[in-house]
Amino acid sequence: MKKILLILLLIFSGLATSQQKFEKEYRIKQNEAPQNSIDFINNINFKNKIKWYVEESNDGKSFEAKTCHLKYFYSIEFNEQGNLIDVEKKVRLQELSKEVQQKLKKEISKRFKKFKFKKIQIQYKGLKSEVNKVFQNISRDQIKVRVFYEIIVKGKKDKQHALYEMTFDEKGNFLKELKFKSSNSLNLEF
Amino acid sequence: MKTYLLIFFFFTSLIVFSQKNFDAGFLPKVVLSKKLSNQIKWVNSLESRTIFYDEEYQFTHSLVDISSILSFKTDLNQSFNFGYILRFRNEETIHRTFQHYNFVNQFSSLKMGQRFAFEQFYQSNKQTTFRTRYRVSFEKPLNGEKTDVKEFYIKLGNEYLYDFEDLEIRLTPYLGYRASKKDRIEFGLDYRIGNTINNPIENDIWFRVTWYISL
Repeated sequence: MKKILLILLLIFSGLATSQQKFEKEYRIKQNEAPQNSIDFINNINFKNKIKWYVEESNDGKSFEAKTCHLKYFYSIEFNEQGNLIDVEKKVRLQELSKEVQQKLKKEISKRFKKFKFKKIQIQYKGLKSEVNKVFQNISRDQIKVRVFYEIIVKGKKDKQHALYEMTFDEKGNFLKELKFKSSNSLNLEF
Repeated sequence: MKTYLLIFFFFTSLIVFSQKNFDAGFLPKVVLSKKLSNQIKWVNSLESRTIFYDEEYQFTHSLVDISSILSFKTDLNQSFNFGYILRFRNEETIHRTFQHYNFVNQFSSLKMGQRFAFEQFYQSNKQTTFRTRYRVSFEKPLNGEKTDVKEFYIKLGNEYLYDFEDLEIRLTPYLGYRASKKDRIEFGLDYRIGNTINNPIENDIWFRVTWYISL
């Protein structure tokens, strides 16, 4: 029994001290976010509750404000200094133009045997004053922002299913693909 | 948080200790998982049971379970498991084979796991018996939207076990800690209500510690 415990302790200490890519996401209170980012959010006059998060990794730190506005879920990301990085709006596939829908499907089906859309976000990048207009009912051609589509797809490649984050430009041209590492659910299965 | 936990333990102990047909004990478990390929996982576990209340306070070692499972991933969030448990209880040895179908769903900050199981029990000089089980578990991080390394989470489970004669219900609230990318530890209660159809009802409460290790 003592030997087993000793072996388990050795394994545990080995696992706990091994080098890992540092990645952490946690909730914060609004007053812990940079003033720039708070000002940007306050200017928009969101009616619903804003949830603030920090994302820390080896690459740095960023702040994220998440809320629901006019029936859409938004995620607004800032860098450590509080400068706006981008705004992401969650939409349904049917809300995109027919041409974009077709282009996306065509591009994605080239890469996977089978696929399913899991999440679609429109990403807006640009000057604060322009991105601000995204939250108002202003038509797209009157806003000077760069638009991308960030799509999470469940795809089958080489007989294997996985989740992928794919980025497309505004016309639906493929830009990049990132495979998600499968999440460990050992504690929910056994 | 502390106050909630205290109230929870106080009421649980009131309900449980005032019952007849009541057992309480300690169930430590280690689950070791090794990925054999992209689709196949080999999961082994060791669990022991120590009783510290059975009509009176005592401290007796009750049983040891050793299990080995081959888990086949059939989809991103689905798996079929085929396993074998060897149970050593006093002088007897019980062999059990089982089949599981699991699926896990991820919502914004909530992870839900469901398990359907079918078990066969083999014991010398006894007829083979069967049992079906269904379990649903929820995991929610205490901070943020996902459970990161060195963060705590809550896991709540509810399981129904039917052996074609009677029904057992289990409620399992746990506090978990993700120690590293490869291991996590959970502490909590495993409250079991047995003989719910034929009576008299049996109440068991087990204090559980489970350590999950992915090699």
